[in-house]
Amino acid sequence: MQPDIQQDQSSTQEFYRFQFFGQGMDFFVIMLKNIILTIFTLGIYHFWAKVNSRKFLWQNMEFASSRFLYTGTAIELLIARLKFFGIVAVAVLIVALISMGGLGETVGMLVGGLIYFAFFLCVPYLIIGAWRYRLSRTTWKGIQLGMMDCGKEYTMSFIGGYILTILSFGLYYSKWSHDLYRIPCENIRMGTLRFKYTGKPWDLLVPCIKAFFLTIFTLGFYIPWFVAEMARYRASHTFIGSETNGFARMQCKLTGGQILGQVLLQYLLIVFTFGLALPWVIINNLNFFCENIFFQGKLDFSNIQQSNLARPGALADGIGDALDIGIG
Amino acid sequence: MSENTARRKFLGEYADGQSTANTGQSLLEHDGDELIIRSLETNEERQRWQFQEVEIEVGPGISVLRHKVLTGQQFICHDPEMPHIFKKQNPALTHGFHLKQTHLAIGLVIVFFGLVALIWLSANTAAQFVALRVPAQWEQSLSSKLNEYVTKSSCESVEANRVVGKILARLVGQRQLQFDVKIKISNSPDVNAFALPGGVILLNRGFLQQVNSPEEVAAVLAHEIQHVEQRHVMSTVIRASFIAMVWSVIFGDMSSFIMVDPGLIHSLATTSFSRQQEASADLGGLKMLDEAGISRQGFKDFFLKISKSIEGKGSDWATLINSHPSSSTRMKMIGSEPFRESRPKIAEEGEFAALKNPCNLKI
Repeated sequence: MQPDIQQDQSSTQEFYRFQFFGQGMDFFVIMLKNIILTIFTLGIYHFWAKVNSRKFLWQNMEFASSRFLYTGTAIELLIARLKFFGIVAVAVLIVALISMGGLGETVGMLVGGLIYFAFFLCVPYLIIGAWRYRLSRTTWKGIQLGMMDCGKEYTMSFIGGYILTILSFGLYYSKWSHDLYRIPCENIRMGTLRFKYTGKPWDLLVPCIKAFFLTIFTLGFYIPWFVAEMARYRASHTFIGSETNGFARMQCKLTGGQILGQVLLQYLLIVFTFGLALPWVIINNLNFFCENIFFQGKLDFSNIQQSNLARPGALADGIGDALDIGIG
Repeated sequence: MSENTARRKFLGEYADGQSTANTGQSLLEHDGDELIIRSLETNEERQRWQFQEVEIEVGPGISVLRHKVLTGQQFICHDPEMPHIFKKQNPALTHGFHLKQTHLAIGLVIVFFGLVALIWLSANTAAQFVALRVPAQWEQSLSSKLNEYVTKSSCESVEANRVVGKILARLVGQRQLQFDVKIKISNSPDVNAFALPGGVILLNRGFLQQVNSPEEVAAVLAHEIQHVEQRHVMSTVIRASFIAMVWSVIFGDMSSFIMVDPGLIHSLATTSFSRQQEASADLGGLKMLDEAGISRQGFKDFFLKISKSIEGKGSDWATLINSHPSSSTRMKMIGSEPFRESRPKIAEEGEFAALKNPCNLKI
């Protein structure tokens, strides 16, 4: 169902913007302290460091004049890492027992390979798990965010779409990327508010084909324009709200030139400061996001109720962190 | 604390964690042991908390007061003075991650680089200390996997292998080595020679094609044997692993711990030795040559040739000596001419010719 905002184009619509208040120097000090204490504690502080950075980033981000807060703890991440150690230890033990037992080294290597392959298959599940954990530890106006458990659907779409995209020589990419955006998006909750995506799977087929050829002809320089087009399409079909609170549509003003400029700026800052500018680069990116993405519509924020979403554990986030999967 | 300070009001956003209906801009003030939150709009009292019931989290530009029992109840304030005033009232209250002084940032940068330097400098000494205590059998078990990797790239020539074996026997003489040294010839055009874990020495075809006398081969072999005997290979592997571990710990990526293969061991083992280790191998190598009655002329010719080549830059020789001592340091070590001739001769002319073409290539 298309939210009411599609029909409601009246002048009563309002803009709901993001704003980031963090300063580069503050983040630099936090990151530096994190690194030093992580070295001194032989890595144990890594989990507290992660939480410090997240708290800083969350607490300085504002939406519709209210800050986000991060309520996750380092102990949760530490326990997740220990559980992951346990899983790896069991996997190694199984392979070692098979190799040293009667079944021989070849069977052991085969089992080891299967375990490794299973880890790869779990990556989409870990991505959703990590997002579920982080959202469940995020509040806004005292309301807990969250994501419904969509790990199985996302994993099936991820793996199936990956194979179909290869088999169709990239033609399936439009549908695949649609699913990978739609599934998590429609499962995010902000108390009783929810997200709705009305994009169509094949709307981006022509832009994808065009991007394929133009990327080759321009030696990759077309990519930022393709990313911007995708972002504008996705945003214009993304809504937040509920039947009782009304809806607001996401808007994105990004252009290819802006993205290219932002990427080049980041690259130059990182290279010429030998990485010391990383905190300023992260903050610049967040400000860039805030300037270009906002919601427009008529939303009543005064009566959002707390939802009863489950609070998943940190295991997926911890495994993603340990294997550097790059969940973000 | 003055009465004015004690009665100060702080503007912020209150949330009850149940619904946004009761959320909004509020004023916080404290009265004795109690904190009172009032609506900014109506001045109506929203909450009354005891000091001991709340905890405060302080970040740059933001403080969050949370009720410990009433989950979800919070007050967000941007006034930087709030945590200081409340801490005076209740010293056990404040905790957080607030750090905002520029001089502190500079101090932390200095501490960080000092720490990196300390790790870097102590890594060699610590690695050598550990390496000397690793049983030789352990190192040899490491080399058994590596042997398969090395064998793939090696070339076979019965005559060249025999001549290399003859030079090795002459160098070792009656010495009791920790390892059963094995020499392999690699079919690689690079001018290079390596000491690998477990007593394996790898001579590249490119190196043998460039030498001008059997004494030069003996000199390089003596040098590499010293790397083996002084456990520099194991020390380098330990150092590289240690630095990789520190790196992984700092940046939280532990995926490298999962993958261990002979290629990785090879790349670790062929990482250049430190200048100190090279100088030590030079000294030990010269002693070996003297005891075997082999002229130092080969040592001088070969190592000064590559030192000069490095100074000229861009040569293939560069790969062999990128961490070796300078030519002047080496000259002092080698001593002044004239050197005695090798007695008896190391290899006949025919044998040396076979050594120069170890992979039986058609020239």
